[in-house]
Amino acid sequence: MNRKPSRPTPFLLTSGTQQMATMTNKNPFFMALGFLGILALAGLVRAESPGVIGQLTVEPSQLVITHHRRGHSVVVTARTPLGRTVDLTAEATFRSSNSGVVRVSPLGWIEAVSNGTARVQVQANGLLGVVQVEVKLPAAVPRHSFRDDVMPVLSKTGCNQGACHGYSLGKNGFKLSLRGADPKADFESLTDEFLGRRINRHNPSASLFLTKPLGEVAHKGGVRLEADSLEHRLLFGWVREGAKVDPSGAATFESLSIYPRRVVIGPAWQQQLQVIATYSDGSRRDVTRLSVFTVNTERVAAVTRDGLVQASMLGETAVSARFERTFATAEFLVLEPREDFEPTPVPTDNVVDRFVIQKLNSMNVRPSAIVEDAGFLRRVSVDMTGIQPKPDQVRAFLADKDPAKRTRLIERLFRSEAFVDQWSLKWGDLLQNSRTKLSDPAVFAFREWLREAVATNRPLDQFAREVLGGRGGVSESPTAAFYAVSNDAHDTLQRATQVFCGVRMLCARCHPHPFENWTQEDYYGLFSFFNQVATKNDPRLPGVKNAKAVVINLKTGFGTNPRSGQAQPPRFLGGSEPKLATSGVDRREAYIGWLTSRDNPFFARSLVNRVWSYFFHRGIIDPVDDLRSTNPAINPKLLDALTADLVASGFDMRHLMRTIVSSRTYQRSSVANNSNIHDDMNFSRFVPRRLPAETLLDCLVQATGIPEKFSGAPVGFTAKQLPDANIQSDFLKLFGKPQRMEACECERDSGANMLQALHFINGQSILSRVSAGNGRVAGLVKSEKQIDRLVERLYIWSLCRRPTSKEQVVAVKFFGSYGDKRQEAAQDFMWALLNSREFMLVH
Amino acid sequence: MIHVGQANVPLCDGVSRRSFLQAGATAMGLSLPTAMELEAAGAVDPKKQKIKNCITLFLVGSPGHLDTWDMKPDAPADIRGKFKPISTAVPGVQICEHFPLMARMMDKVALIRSLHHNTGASHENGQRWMMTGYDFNAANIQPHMGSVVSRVFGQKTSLPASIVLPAKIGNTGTSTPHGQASGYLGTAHAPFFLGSDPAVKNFKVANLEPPKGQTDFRINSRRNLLKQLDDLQRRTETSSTIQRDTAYSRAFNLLTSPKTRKAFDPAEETDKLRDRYGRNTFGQSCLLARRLVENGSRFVTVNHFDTVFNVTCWDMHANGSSLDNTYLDYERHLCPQFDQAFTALIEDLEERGLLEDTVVAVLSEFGRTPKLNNRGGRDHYPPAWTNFFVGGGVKGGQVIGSTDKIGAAPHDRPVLPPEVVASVYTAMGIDLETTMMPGPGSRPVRFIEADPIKELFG
Repeated sequence: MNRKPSRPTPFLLTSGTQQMATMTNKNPFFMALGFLGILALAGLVRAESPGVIGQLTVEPSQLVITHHRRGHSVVVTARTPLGRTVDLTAEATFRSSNSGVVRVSPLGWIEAVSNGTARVQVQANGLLGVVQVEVKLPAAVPRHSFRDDVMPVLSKTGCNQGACHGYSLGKNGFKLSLRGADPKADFESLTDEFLGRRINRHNPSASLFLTKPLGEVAHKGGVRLEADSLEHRLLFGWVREGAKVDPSGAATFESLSIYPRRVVIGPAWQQQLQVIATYSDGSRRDVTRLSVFTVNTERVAAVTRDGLVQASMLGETAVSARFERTFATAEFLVLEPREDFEPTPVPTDNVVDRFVIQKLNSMNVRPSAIVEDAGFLRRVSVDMTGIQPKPDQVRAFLADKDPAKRTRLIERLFRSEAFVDQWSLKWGDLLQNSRTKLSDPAVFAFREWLREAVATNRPLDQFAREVLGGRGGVSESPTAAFYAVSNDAHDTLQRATQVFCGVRMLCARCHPHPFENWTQEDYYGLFSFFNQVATKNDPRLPGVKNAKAVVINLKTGFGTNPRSGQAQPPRFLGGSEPKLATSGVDRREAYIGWLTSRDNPFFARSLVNRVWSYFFHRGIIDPVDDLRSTNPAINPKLLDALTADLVASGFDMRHLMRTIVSSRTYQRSSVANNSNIHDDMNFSRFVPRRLPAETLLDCLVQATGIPEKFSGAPVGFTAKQLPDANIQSDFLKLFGKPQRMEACECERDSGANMLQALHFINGQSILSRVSAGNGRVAGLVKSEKQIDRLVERLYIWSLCRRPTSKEQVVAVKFFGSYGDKRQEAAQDFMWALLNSREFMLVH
Repeated sequence: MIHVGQANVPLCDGVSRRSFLQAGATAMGLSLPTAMELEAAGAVDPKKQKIKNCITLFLVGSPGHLDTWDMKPDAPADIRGKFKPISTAVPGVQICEHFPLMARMMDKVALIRSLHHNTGASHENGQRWMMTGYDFNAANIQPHMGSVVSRVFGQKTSLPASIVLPAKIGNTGTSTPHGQASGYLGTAHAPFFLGSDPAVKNFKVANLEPPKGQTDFRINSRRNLLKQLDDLQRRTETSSTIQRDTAYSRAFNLLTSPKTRKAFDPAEETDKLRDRYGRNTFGQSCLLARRLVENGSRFVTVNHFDTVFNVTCWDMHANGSSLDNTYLDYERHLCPQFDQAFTALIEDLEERGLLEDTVVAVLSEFGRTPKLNNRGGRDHYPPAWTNFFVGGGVKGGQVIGSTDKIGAAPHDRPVLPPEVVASVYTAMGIDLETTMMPGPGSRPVRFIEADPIKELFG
């Protein structure tokens, strides 16, 4: 059975087949045909035999139609013997048992004719299915609704998006609320403004509201409506009926669901989605054609405007549908069947491995082998302590025969000073400890506090309580710096939410969050926890730049939501509102209590995800500090299990890190096998990443024996120990050290670029270090007379491993070409090692 | 939709590796959810948009508008200054007598005589306004226009997308930034600063030359060794290894490719043409700007001077010490040098058919005080000045806006710096109405919070 699309989408809201046939030419399916053709050429044709087993699944199986114009689609699927889903919607045939009650188009679009009951019989691939339909129409044909018919079209066609009329100043004098946040304002803007020219009640088709998007009148935003499309008919219907305001008491939209929720298909297969809105009166409406679809991972699949998902490459992706600012998400897993696949035994001794392997088994993926000792030593040292091991450590570790040596190594790293450097640097970045906003003494005091918290492994809940509970100046509370960094309560709530909940609230300040269901009520609810906090100059530190004291003004009332003009009581993320007096209590305490409670859905989860991301190339959710329903976890069970484990451990960060770095998952080789070469999301192999700026510089210094001079920092400070980014360093800047201006992990730039490469190739950072008379290379050349031993020592200092025999061969030849200039040869050899990919990457 | 997702493609063979390389610099450092966010915001699609080039001539120090392109011959002597206006190819439009070559091509030039900004009169304020379109905000360093173009449209060839000639602006008074950085867009999109004077004999690009004392033998030998070691280390390709390899191959391309080297070499041009531009730093930089655009750079900035102290430059304070530029300097050096190089550039672009695809913007920080100071110089004056556009489809032969009788303030059609930046983007082919770019934290933002100057586009 060929999955090539043979027919147009079933979601054309048309009354007859003839019309449908004429629309076929414009149908996205035909574009899809070309697309699939290309994929077939690329060798991505389906390998599995087409047979399906079991019965047809028909969605919905029962249906109540309560609206004259609102029909319903049917999605028909079946399963293959290997558990994948075959979408048979396009080739199924449909027949109504009583065409006086319902009629059904050849594409499965069911519409009411008159009240009564009927069955729609479905046949596909020799199998049968049925939809029980009940028609309960109201006496009169309902009018078009602004809220339910017009608003969704404004979103679907993109009229209200940020680049168009949803822009805060509108476009060409016409403003809509961003993504339909404010239907009332939009109604007014359409009907009252511009002397009513947008809507022409006498000659509806002459309304600018229709002629502009149709392209009949010049429209800067281009043609957005196709004549006689569903969208056009909905808008026209509303205008023709007088562009009236909706009757009060009409049912309101409540929730959104998507079908199917989870799909396993093959490359080049497709699956039609169905999106259902549920209203306050319990009615359900098929809004597939009015939803906006997006794919998270484009290389895995694409989705058409009408919700037809076309898989391309192996992998997985979420596909989101947006309707009325609400999201529903379907997960797609694109697999090749492997009948010979042998699942990896699921480990039980490590919670990470257990859920990673479960997931890999479900994807027919075998993990890579365990990395060899030298590779593990460098990787875990760099990740935990931000510095490579020294040669004596490398040699000792390689020579150690104890089977538990990796465990012992991990414990040793926890105890090292560099561990404190590394993790206080991370917290300093996230909490934005910087003299841009803070005084010199405040930065050093906060730095010391962070170092102590890391050194004593302060539980994360206590850590958060102390960070968010600070008040006064430097002498009273080093953590008051957290508030002193903020410009205002907006800043504070956004930073607190991003750092400790992994949620970005900025968007919701001015409009509903575009990718999550956060509103301005949620935003100003958080604001009201923090708006009692203010900073003033600290009179005890006269003349000290940025000397601030944090004060709490208990009299300050709740913040005002600018949209409603009303005071917004404090509201936790997720909607509950604690009963708090409008004055007299420090409302931060309620927030802190909520945040650090064991069942807070954000706190432990976001921290687990964040810590995970420091040891892998991505978070379990990625970006790490952007938790939202439209950005699902790649492995939800893994994240849930680690979260529960962190809470059970008493928010013990080292416990979490130990669980991660002890896992086989962390200790996988970065060399792929046949089955996981296409998987870079599920931790089936180690995916290399560039060393962070500070680590790169510290490793360079250690390898060459030539320190970096930082002007403005105490002598002997390593890059990780610098108090902030206000120490001028071209190197650190070039390699993306964050300036601590944002509470976002994204501020650290971990990309590699040409200017960095030029700096490494031609700049002084490496050339002058390898040729320094007092440096490592000069010393080694003096002490090692034998080339192979010299080469081995250069390798261990730079790449923390012994050279392979092939590399030794290259080295001997290289040294030979320099004749008696061994010094120069060694310098150039070290230059190449430090420029090689292994040095720049955690691998 | 910005196709940035390529960066995450697992690469295991030559085919997908190439497709990554083709995806270009836009692919670097932008995560997939960002692509979704940008798409949702109606963000720019570099594949669908044909983007023109831009050459910006930045007149550091700033010419006095009354002495150059907005003359007031009827004003009192201590305002109108020493120079006389001359007629131009456009009836009714006059400019300073010391721009005779430019006067002949005024039909191509769109003068904007009503520029002004409302912030402090430091050079850096003006530089940031004109190069980024934004006021200073220490917490949010705005990117240079060239960085924006690099970020959104990527590198076209092995040349960097944004190049600054001949050097970065250095000390111009205060320690605040000059607007020459990539800000939140990251170092991958920082402009490439030439750092050398293309007018000197044996000109070499400082950033592309190995440090002193390195022999060709060692340079080549190191490169060969690196390649061998890299190959031996090569295992499974991932986005990070590809990104690293791409960075190195681009760097080596710049360092070694004869084509790239030639793009940076003005000696490839005939003596006649080099003479036409003027055998000075600015003239040869303008020539180099043309070569670089021709070879694939998208945005080239030529700084006419990189400081205002102890040099002959536009900063005409006549203060008798480190800021001692006078009318004599304008007459003898500055105006003729500019007139020659600027007109050579326009003619050269036109002859090569590049003018239609290259917008040339001549920008400065501010104007100079209408009233001569007591030493006969003029001081910083943000309330009014003149800049201009040529090429890139801009409608020439027009004057947009005007100042009052003494050039003290815009008289009609006042124009602010963000409108100039919006005009540069528009002239380059970016539709500001319908496209957005990734802002801080990759949140989609508008390119610039201003509309382009409509008159420029007919």
